[in-house]
Amino acid sequence: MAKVEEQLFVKSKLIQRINMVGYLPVALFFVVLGIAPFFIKDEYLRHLLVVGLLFGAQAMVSDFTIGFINISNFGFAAFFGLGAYTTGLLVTKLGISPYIGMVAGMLMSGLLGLFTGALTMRLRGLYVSIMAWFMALALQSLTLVLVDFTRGAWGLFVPPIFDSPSVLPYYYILFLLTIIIFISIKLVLGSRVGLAFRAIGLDVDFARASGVNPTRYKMVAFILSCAFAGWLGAFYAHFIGILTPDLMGTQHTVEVIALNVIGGRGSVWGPLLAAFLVIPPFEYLKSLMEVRLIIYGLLLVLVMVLYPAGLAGIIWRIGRLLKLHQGATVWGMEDS
Amino acid sequence: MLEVKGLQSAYGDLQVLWDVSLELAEGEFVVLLGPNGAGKTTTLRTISGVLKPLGGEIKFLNKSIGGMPGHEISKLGISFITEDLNLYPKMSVKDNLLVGAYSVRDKKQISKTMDYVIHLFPRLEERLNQLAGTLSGGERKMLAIGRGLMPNPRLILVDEPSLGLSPLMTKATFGALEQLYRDGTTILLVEQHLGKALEITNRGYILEQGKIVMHAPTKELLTSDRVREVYLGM
Amino acid sequence: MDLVEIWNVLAVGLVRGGLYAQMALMLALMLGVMSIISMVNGELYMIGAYIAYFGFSVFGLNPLLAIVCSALVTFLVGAILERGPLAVMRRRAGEDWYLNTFLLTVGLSFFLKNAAMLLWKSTFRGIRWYWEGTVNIGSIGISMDRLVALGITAVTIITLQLFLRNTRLGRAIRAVSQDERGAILNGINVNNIYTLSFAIACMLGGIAGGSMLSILPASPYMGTMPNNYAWLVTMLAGLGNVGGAVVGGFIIGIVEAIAFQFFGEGWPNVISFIILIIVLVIKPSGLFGTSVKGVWER
Repeated sequence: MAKVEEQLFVKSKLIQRINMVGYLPVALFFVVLGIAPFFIKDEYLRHLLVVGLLFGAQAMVSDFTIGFINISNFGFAAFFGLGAYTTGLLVTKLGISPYIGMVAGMLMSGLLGLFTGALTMRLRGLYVSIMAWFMALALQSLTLVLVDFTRGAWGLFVPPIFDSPSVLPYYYILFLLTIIIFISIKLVLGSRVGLAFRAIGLDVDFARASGVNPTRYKMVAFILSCAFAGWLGAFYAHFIGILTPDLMGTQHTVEVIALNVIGGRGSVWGPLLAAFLVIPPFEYLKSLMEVRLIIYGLLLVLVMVLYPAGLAGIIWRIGRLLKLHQGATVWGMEDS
Repeated sequence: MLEVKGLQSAYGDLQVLWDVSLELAEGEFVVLLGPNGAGKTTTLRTISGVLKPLGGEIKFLNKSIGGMPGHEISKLGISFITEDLNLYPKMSVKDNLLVGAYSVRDKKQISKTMDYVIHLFPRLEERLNQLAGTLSGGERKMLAIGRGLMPNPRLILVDEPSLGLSPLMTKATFGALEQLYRDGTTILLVEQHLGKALEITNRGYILEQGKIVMHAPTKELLTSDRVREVYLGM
Repeated sequence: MDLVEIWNVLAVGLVRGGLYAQMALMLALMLGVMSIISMVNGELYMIGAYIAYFGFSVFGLNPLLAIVCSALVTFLVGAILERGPLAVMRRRAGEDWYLNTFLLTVGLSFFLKNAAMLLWKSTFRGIRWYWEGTVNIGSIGISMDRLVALGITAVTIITLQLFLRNTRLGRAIRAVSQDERGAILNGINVNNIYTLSFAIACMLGGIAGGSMLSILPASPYMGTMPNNYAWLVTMLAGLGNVGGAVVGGFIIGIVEAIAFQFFGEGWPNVISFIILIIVLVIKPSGLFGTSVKGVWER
């Protein structure tokens, strides 16, 4: 493993993906997120914060695979939705506690991730993406058609976790979830496993030659990200109270991926920030709602074509200009 | 016809050619020799436009072609028959030849040239409708050369045609090249198989580590001590 | 089930199948020649449908002319997309090419379908028929529109094949997809071929959208279904097997028509997707799979 480490740093260009701007700004960002609800008393605005955080967390989870092992989980929404429906169905049909339901949701999605991954991981990332996509389509249409079980398009009503009229407890549960996910991702990426991920993301053949078994590591990343998606989905079920099959649709996945790319692939915190910059404003300005999706598409195209490093890249650049840090090259941009 | 002066070329950060100068007059048959890794293929690639030169000059028929896109250089009349052959495996022999003639608009001309090529390589005639990917090694070489001839090029660059061929096939291939030479085609040949190459060519250049180190008529090369020692193992 | 019913199911299935086959062809062309894993196919279909709608319903054009307009506009859109965003991506080519272009097409698709939503709202723009009436042979019949749609699909697919096999440009396209360097050395301007190929591929989608207007009315999100099926059929047959994908398209169309007959709404979808997953579990490279230029294999 040490040899991989050495050679990774010799093989320039893509190194410091995570701590591009240092720990401090990211920590500050989380602190701001943590205390925001105390400054924002309006329930509607707080609701927007939750939605923003939810999408941000999803985008972050998506980044775990896109940014590091080059697998774009194109069936993301289904893993999210599976977690939601799992807890929804367990709680409504068997009456178990929502907290257990959330864990069950996480496990179910993790399992589906395991299944999907086991079938496809030996092949290129795009194959995994497409297969995940078909899993999602199959799951979505199955959910739609098995109306007696899932209530299909009529909607499955899910009891909330709290009886409180305020959104506040939900925000903090989600915040806790997000922090756990963020730290988990960082821990994994900072460990030997993470080093392997980055090696794989850089150059699979090189990684394999250095003794890293790409498949195993890709599986771990993929399964974890599916499990986290399920966890978030389960939370969502108890937050929103009603589930329909279009939760698992491709549109939802694309929104998550768009936020991921716009925020900056490989940065982990970038997508979270992007979600907060995009969602609350758009939801607030109702008139812009229709335009929101167009803007997602447009930004996704623009970022891919013109500025692949995304928002995180811009912030990194600014930081460097202001001499706030000496970051190494950013992925997607040449060092200048 | 072809003038190369001080050519420099690189693959990304790796510079391979440092100072290559050579010349071909019309109708000549010249060989470019050198050890593995010297840059012989790189030289051909740069002349043909596959690779963009880093520096130096390439002039073909008095026109500067350094940096021109490959497809335009091909249209000017330079055909590069690569070591990999770059055939179209899922297309028939006939279609491969037809694509070779892509820049020729006159159908009669194409037909005439195809007859010439088939005459040169009778084996191909039997296999006109066979997929190029299913041909034997020797047949593929023939097809590659034949395809390179379809646009009636003024200059042919050939990269190690005898590589991987049986002695019989090598003989046939060189025979074809010789025939082309006799018919007036200008040829720049890169070869490692020296014996045969030195027999049929007029002049030779020796390329070592990206620089031309020797240049003489092949008769002289054959008698040169250096060449005999290093390349012919004598 | 009597003969008439069987025939009706078959007719519906064939027409749908033709749509799937044509979309699969579009995908195959983009994948084979340009190595692009495209998610924007449905939106080209959608554009074709709207153009035909406006041409026929609003401007009163002859149906065939309306469809030709669909073809021309989508051809142009394809050329613009290729010369614009795709060319930029190509200049930046690298290991991540497949993923990056995939994401780009996802973005384009999202943008186009929502722009359409903004422009034309969600109302369905349909027509009752292009050509009125049915064609009867004995006791069985097929609506004129369906017959013509099927005919257009057949003509399109066959023309494309003939073009690729027998014309100078068609050979050039095949050459570029098989050995790009060889093509350059043979004097082919590869960039122009890319533009042409992509434009032709997009045109396939546009023709499908236009010719099926009376069967599938135009709406902003209508492209989702054709795209899903283009991919389903392609994955089922195996990437790289174009003939298989075309045949597969027709087969799936008929299978779904039968499924609808017996199980009703919603089930054809489920059945198709589950069939796909089962096939891929058993044979990941698809029914007739061959690997395409290492797209799937590492």
